[in-house]
Amino acid sequence: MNYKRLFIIFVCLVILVVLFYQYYPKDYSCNDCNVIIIAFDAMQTAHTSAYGYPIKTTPNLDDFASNSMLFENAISPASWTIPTYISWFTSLYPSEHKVVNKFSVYNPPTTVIANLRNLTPSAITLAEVMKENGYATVGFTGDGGARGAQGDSIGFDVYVDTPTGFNGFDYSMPLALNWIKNNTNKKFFMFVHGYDSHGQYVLKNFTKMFVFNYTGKFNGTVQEQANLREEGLANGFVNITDDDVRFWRAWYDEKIYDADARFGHFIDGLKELSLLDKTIIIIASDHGTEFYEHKRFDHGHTLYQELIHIPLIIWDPKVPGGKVITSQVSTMDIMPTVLELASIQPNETVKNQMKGVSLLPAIKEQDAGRDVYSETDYRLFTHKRSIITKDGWKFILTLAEAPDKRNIKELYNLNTDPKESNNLIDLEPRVAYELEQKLLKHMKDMGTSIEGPWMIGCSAVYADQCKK
Amino acid sequence: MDLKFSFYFVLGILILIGLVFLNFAYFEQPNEIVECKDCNVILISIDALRADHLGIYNYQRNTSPNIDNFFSKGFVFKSAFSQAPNTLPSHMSMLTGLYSSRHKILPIYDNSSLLTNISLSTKYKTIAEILKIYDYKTQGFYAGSDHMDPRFGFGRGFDNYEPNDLFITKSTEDLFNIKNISNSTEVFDFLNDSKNKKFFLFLHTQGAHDPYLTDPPYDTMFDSGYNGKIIGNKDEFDSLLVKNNISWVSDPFTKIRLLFWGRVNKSDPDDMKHLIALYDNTIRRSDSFFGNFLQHLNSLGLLDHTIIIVTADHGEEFYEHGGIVHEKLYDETIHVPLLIYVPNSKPRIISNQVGLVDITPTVLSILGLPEPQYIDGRSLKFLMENPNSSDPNQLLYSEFLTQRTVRTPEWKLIKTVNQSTSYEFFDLKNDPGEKINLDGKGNPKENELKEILENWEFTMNSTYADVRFLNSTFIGYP
Repeated sequence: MNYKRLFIIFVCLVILVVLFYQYYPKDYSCNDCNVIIIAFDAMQTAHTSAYGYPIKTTPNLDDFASNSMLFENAISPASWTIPTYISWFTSLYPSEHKVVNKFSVYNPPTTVIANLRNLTPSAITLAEVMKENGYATVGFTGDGGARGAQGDSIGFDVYVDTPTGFNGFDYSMPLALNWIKNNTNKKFFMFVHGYDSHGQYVLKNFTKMFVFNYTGKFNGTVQEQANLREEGLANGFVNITDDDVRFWRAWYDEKIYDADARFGHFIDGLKELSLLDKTIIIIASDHGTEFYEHKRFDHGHTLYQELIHIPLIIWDPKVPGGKVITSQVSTMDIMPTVLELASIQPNETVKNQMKGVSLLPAIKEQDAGRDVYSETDYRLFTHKRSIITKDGWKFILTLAEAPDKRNIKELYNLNTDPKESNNLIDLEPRVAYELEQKLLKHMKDMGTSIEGPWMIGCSAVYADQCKK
Repeated sequence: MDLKFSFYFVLGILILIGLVFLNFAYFEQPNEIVECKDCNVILISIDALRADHLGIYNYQRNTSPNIDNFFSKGFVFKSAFSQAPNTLPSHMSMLTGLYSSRHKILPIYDNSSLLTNISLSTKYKTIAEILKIYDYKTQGFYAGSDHMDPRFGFGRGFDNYEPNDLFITKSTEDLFNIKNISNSTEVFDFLNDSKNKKFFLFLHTQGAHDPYLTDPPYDTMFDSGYNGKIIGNKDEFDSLLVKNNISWVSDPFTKIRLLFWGRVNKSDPDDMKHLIALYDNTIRRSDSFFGNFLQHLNSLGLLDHTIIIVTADHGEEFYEHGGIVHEKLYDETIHVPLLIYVPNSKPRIISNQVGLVDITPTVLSILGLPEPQYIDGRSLKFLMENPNSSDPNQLLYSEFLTQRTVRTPEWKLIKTVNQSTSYEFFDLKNDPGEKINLDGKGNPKENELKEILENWEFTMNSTYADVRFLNSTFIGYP
């Protein structure tokens, strides 16, 4: 026996095997898996312990995330609910799908609820594509901005959005588990949504677990929260003490804690049904909530990070073990990602429609991140558009805002100024100019006239609605 | 042997086919990239210069030997049009890339002085402001016309923006002491100081503007045999001015124009011939100035890294449609020269319709800088690189006061809105002089253009001037 030759062959084989496992593409897709999208409405990344918040608000999510893919830098295309979920389901920007506010016609008596079918009849939703590919499509939501009447239910066999109001996981998750138990032989695509962290969700048993030594005037009612929200919109800032702010943040943390507990039960339920190994789970928030970071409360009224930097966690049974992805992505990417993970090849129309991109390259570390765009036309009180470049420059353009703001520009370097407190618009004219042109080009690409008119009380997104 | 023969035969055919394809590849115009990174930019606007009075635009008189010679090495845009036949809005369009309906800088008069309270919105940037962002030194010299005053926003982005061509001054003695790009120490000082930096120089000169008065040798360059009443010589005119004290007019420039035009008899063909000759004299003089300026640039070693543009804010009418100077939208007042020199570029003649709103984005794209997205103009770089490029946009708009026009290479529609709305519709191929109004004659193109113009007006939020507030004599429109 020539041992030398044998040894060389052995070494070559070892090298080949190593190379094989290094470069052979891991298959992330699972075409017989279920897909569940879990939406924690209004949950800010910075208040989520899974993202490093020092208070343990989300122990269940932390545990879940440690085995999942956690996206550190996911940005929402809008800062409030109504436009965002439609963007998730179509991968179109709000200006493109046009469900930018609750109503699309405001002049009484003809106030019309904005509906995707009326505003953009050509749009194809994620649920429609999943249904076409043999999935049962079910949605269990807390109503509010996720109401089916706006088009969120298009393509769903089942879509629960009652009772009206702001309902949480305590309402939607048991219904979801129940459906699964009664439909065990079906491959399903599910959307489970809850308003638990939202300012208008009633915290039924406020234990004040995170409140310390508060002697101020607030009790944590939704009416108080609504008043703070309106005060901010009316005056541009809220008159409030630091103690009060701490109180409200603690109130928020408790809500998140409750949402997380319910989430924990839900995951346990899935485990009991042995579904975790057969289900892709995408967890995200539509937007965050401001608690005085920029002197106001609630959401939709700005495009600051506390509102658009959201948690995004993906569990793929084919990819066990935790992974952190740092490149900047958008929740516009949910639809193309779900399709790729489910091994569904979308038709040309859907492919051309989707403006987000699959997250798989980012997961495989082949994506250095990209520029992301966001927008808000919240209650026709403000019209803002933003761009965040992949290297952390953020430019916000306020086209108009009540009562009389026009054409306000802000520029922040998120690397050196993550709190967005230092407007560099005059100090960095070149960056400001270049980002503004990119943003204006994006607006033109979305089909909006950048000349406007941009006015309070009407939506220029609806082709010249504001023109007299 | 048959096989060998067949083999060589087939080989021969293949070689022949190969050569044919190679030939086509060779003769096909390759796209020559037009770029000039970090280059200087000099933009010269010769006020009231009609395109068709320049040699390079096939004028029969030798009015512009220096311009012709220099731009034979550059890009000649045969069909360039101004967006307004008036100095103020046209220059703002030139420097911003916006139509007047958008930038809203229009000549509105209160009695006989221009209103002061309009200024370019800060949501727009002039080309000087953009170049300043990219660390250019920026300098503007304008003819001291109130129409180019910095208060309208012309000065924005310029380190210095000052009057230089003292065509209009407070003193009639200074009146004819025209500083110009040929003998201006300020311009030369600037060039000397800036030759090692990157700079943007904007030069506006009124050397071709009415009244058409020149010094020897220019005053008799064309049509020297005239013996009518029109005076085209500066000194002769000066004495006339002293004798005729038009005391009811305070502004010296207005006095001079009144006096000049008062001696023109438009029904006398000799007078008309002479009038045009005097205009051509001024062009010849401007061209000499340009020649000297070029020599100066050359001596400073600037020509190999400077983009040079010669254009005009509008043209001039010589009674083609019953009027003079410039206020209507016929081609004689809106067809302007657009000549662009880019170092180390293949010279080209481009006949696509373009506008002065295209200058700003074109310059920026040649420099490799991002263009503003809100503008109405577009970069012409693609045409400069390949004049055979397919050009989806062959519509050109222009507007002033009660009139709007839309033009294709073949058809032109002019809309006038006073108490009622009227149209003029011209077949440019058969009637380039725009003399035969085909409005209402049933040409389907007319309705097409009417709709196109309406859509444009809607997009621009374009409003027509209220006739009651117009200053009705021509001297209101420098």
